[in-house]
Amino acid sequence: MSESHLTQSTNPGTRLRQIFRRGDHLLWMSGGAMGLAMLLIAGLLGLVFVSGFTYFWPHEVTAADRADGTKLLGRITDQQPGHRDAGGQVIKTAQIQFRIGNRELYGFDFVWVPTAELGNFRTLPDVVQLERQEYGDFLGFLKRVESADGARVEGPAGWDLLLSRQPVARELAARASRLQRDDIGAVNYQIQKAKLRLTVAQRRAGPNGRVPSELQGAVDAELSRLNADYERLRAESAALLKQATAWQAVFTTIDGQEKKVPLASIVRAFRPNAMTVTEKVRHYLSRAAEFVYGEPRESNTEGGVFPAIFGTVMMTILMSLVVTPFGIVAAFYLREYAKQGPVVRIVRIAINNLAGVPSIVFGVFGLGFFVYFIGGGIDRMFFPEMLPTPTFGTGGILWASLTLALLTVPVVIVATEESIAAVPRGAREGSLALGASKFQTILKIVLPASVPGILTGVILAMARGAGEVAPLMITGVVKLAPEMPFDAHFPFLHLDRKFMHLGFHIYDVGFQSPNIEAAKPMVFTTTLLLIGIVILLNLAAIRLRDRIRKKYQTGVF
Amino acid sequence: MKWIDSAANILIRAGGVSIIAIVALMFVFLGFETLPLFRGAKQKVVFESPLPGAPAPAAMLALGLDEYESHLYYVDATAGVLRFVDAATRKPDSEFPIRALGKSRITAAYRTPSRDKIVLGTDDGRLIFVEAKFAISYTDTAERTVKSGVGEMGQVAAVVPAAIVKVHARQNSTGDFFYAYATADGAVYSGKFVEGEPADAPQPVGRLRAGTIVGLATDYEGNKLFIATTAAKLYQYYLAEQREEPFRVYDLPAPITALDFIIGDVSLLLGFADGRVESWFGVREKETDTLKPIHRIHTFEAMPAAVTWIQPSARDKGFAVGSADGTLKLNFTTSERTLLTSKLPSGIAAIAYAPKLTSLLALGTDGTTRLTAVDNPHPEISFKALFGRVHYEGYDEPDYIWQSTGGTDDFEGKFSLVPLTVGTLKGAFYGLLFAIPVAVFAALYTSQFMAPSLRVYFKPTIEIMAALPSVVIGFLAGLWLAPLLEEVMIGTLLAGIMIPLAIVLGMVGWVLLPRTVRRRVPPGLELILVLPLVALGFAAAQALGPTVEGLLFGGNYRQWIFDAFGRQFEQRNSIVIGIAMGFAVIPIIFTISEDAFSNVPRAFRSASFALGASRWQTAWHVILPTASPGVFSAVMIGFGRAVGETMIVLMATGNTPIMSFSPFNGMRTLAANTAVEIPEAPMGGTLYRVLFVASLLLFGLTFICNTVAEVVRQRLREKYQAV
Repeated sequence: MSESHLTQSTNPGTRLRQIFRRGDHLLWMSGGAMGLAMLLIAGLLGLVFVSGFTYFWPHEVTAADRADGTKLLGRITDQQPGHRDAGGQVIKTAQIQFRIGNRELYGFDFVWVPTAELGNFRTLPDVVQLERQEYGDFLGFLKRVESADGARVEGPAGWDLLLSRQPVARELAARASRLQRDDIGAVNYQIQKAKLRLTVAQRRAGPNGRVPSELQGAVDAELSRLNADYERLRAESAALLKQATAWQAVFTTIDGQEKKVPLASIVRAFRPNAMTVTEKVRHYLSRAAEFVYGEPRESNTEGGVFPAIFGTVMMTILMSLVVTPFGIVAAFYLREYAKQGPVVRIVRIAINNLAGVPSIVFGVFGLGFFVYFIGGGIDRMFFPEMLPTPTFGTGGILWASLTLALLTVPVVIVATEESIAAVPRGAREGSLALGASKFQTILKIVLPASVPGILTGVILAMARGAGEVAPLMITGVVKLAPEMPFDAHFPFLHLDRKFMHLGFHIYDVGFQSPNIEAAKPMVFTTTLLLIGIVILLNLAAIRLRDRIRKKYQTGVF
Repeated sequence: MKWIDSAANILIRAGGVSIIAIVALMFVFLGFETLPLFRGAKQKVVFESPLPGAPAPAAMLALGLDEYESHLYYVDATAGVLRFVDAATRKPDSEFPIRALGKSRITAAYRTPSRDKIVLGTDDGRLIFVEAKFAISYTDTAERTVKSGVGEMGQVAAVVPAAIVKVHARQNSTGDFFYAYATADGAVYSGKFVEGEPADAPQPVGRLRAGTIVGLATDYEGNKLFIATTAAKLYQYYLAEQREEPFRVYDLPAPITALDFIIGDVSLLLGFADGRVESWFGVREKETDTLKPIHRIHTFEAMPAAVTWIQPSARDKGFAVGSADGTLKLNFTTSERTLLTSKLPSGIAAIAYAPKLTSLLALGTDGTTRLTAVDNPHPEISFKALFGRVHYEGYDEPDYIWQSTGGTDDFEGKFSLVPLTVGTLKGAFYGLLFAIPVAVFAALYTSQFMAPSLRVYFKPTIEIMAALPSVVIGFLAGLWLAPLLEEVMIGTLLAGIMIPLAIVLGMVGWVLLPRTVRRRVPPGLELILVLPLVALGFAAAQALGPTVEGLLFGGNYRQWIFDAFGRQFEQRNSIVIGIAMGFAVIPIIFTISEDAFSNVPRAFRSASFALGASRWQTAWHVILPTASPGVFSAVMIGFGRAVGETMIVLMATGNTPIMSFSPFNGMRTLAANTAVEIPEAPMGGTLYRVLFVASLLLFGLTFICNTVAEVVRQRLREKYQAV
């Protein structure tokens, strides 16, 4: 509407003066604030998306000669332009960053080299890149493949043999490690339990008493049987491992060093400069799948994040199992049962405030109350034989979930209260008029009508819970959990165990791993995953909320 | 059916009340965990009676207790033996003659506080080093038996055969002793003794002193030596520099009657004849001083009579002090607290502290011996230690310092919450500095000017960002933004000017365009035009950055900052925090203030337009003032969020607890500090409880902000309803 007044003057000067008087420049500037916010968001999401999604893509590897005669092979990861001041003095020299891999040979993954010292850039087609079980990537050239019994294959046949033998060797090694982890783990678990039985019996008998001989005999027999099992399994796994490491490949690096790599320790072998697009896509998908389903390697900086995804999901589910009923009950109490007055008003303000209390405060409470007070109490009452090693008296998934439930309960209460309030009075009164009791009305009329609203609250609570890290850091998250909180051993669900979490994974790998620079790309991918989960949950909640609004709008009229 | 109804009634009420109770419990629990910090010590008398078979109190020297408190021991000067007493039965358990003594008599003794090592001075001027030994063994039934014995480590030959009247010694970490003693004729000697090696002859210390010697103290390097005399003088020597002349002589208002070093040998504890108890330590008077004269640092509750004994603890900066009227107090230097006061029927002749500080043994001049079990969990905390300036050992002036753990026993814990609180407020301040203008103006634009077709996309986008995990923002800020910003710092700061400039220039250019072109973009869609302008302004600022840096800061702004402010530039600094924290807070402030703007009754707007005001004039002079309480409440809630933010600060700053408001330094906040330190804090320990205080502080801060915001918002709502 304002534009029309303005254009009456045709003289540009007058028009400008008018515009400044009317404050249009300030209006544009407030638009600029909005624009800045949007650009920041777009920049952040764009950065995470691009860096996160390109992590798995096989990149070209470049060879170059240095001025001092040495050669360099690596992926170019960064370039810095040089800078001269007005007098032509060099302030900054132009540099190129290479990711050279071969950590065990060079001691570092990256080098910065002044551009002026480099020449003869070339892309060699036969560069082999290895993703290894240990020491990160290897870059070099295949010399030969050899077996323990003296067979040697060189040239292109060697590469084909490597490609065909590697999965076999890998499978054997995987079987050996499964044997180690699952079967031997199970035997160890039983040995522990048998020993624990003795400890408990000893404790019951008192310091001077003796363990009943039949129990002692039974436990001894079981232990000797288990030990025999253990020895057998160990021999079996050793045999498998020997078989797996029978073949190894010999590589040379660009500077002529020779390196033997057992095929079983190669996760993936590929020639990045000779790959077709289809091969690259396949490589990409295979790595992405490993990322989601695989176990972490190299202190979390490589491999997959499955345990962290699992931990995050399980913690979030446990949390919502607690927070949903409590939140709903509290909301129904506040809205339907409690006498509306100043007390309820204060309680409502307190609950609203609770949402603004820093998460670390909840963490401190969780540590002091759940872990040390309740957990310590449980230990003293039910697991005295394990002390001083705590069972529940230390951080664990149960305590972390409870802490987050407390943190997110205001979200559920507020959402539920809102949706209860939105249920039309008429429906409620109709039900009561037909002779239904208060509880029947709530159960049959109010609750069904407010389910979508409650669901919105629960989803929002889950989104908040999934992204929260600070309170978890002190109530049960660890960088590497040896065992999952859910496994094949009775009672299957181990609420006392520590767990891994995507958010903590980001913090830990990004800030506490020994090789931050090399791990950074992977952290971007983890970040992408976490943002993805949180944004999806939020979008779901928003969709749900919009639907309810529409439903009520049509319902009322 | 009725029973279901009433059951549900009870169940829902119980559930509702219990969840509210849990919420309340949370804060009560936090508070309760901090209370023990401010309580004094507790004591329980184990026994109080004379020890059978003991000599006169004046001949009971080097009183001590073993680690398990199973035995007391003392040197019986009349019999020349080390005697052990069973703590349970109070009967002598065993005694061992000191062989090196020969025919001489013991005239002085000192027990080092940290181990059961005793130095004896004889009437013929020798020093004898002995050790009370305890062999611990466990029976089959896990019962502990402690077998006592004596170990003679060697002796130092006399320089002149005069009786030794005072002796003091320290053992360093390799086990070597440094000792000082005074003889009856007023001479003082010092030296070093190593077990198993022939001892060097003691070296004399100059003797121009007034009065007779009442006490002396040497440190574990054999360098510092303090001598107190009856003439109310204290002589300070640096033996490595000058043995003849004292470095300083202090004239004191009253004679010293007891002195010793607190563990670490930095603070000297002085007890006076008039009952005053003080701690002194060296403070540099000039920047270049290597030798420090001592100053009075802490003053403790005065004793009712002359101080007779000062016993430093072996593990912390605490000490026990006894006086001539039998009063016994337990003090702590850092906090200046007196944690325990008790009284013996007669004057205190000697005090011993159990190695684990769990028991205190006191001997009266009438022979009464009292063993008390002491529970003194948090002596280092007082209100002043948490919030005031404290003069810590080794510092030249009182300061606010957070340094909770050190490597050694003699480390003085520094628990000032002030630098953390300042860091918290600083982080929030820089965050809001960036977030408030962006969020409030963006909200104003969205609610007042933006076309509805755009609003449906842009508003939820910003709102969803409120759910962005802070660990993500922290990661990007710490590992991506911080190194990048270091390169383009000047350009980015310039963007604060260049972006508005670009927008204004762009607008001018736009207005000058022919009307037909302008028609294509209706009002409300300026954003489409502004977006590239913002980007352009930012790019222009970056392009100008190096030039400006060259012109104003000599081409290297980091060096310039160092020269100008004397502080090193930190890569993870407050500007990074400001941007990252701002990013986290913008969605919150935006959402709430957008609500407030949108809720201003339409009539206000229409009336303003009808009076001929422009869109901006309406927004600025009508909408903003009306909705200002809502904006205020948005800012308060944003502030609350910024104050409690943990992960961003943890990841994007250096986490050094310094008190500096410079934007080019980092900070440590209450929240990040808690997250870092509480996993290492033993449960129930002092650090653990201090972190609870920090949490409570954080909670209080955010609770106040949120309550104020909530109240303001409710008021506003009522006002709108009235309109």
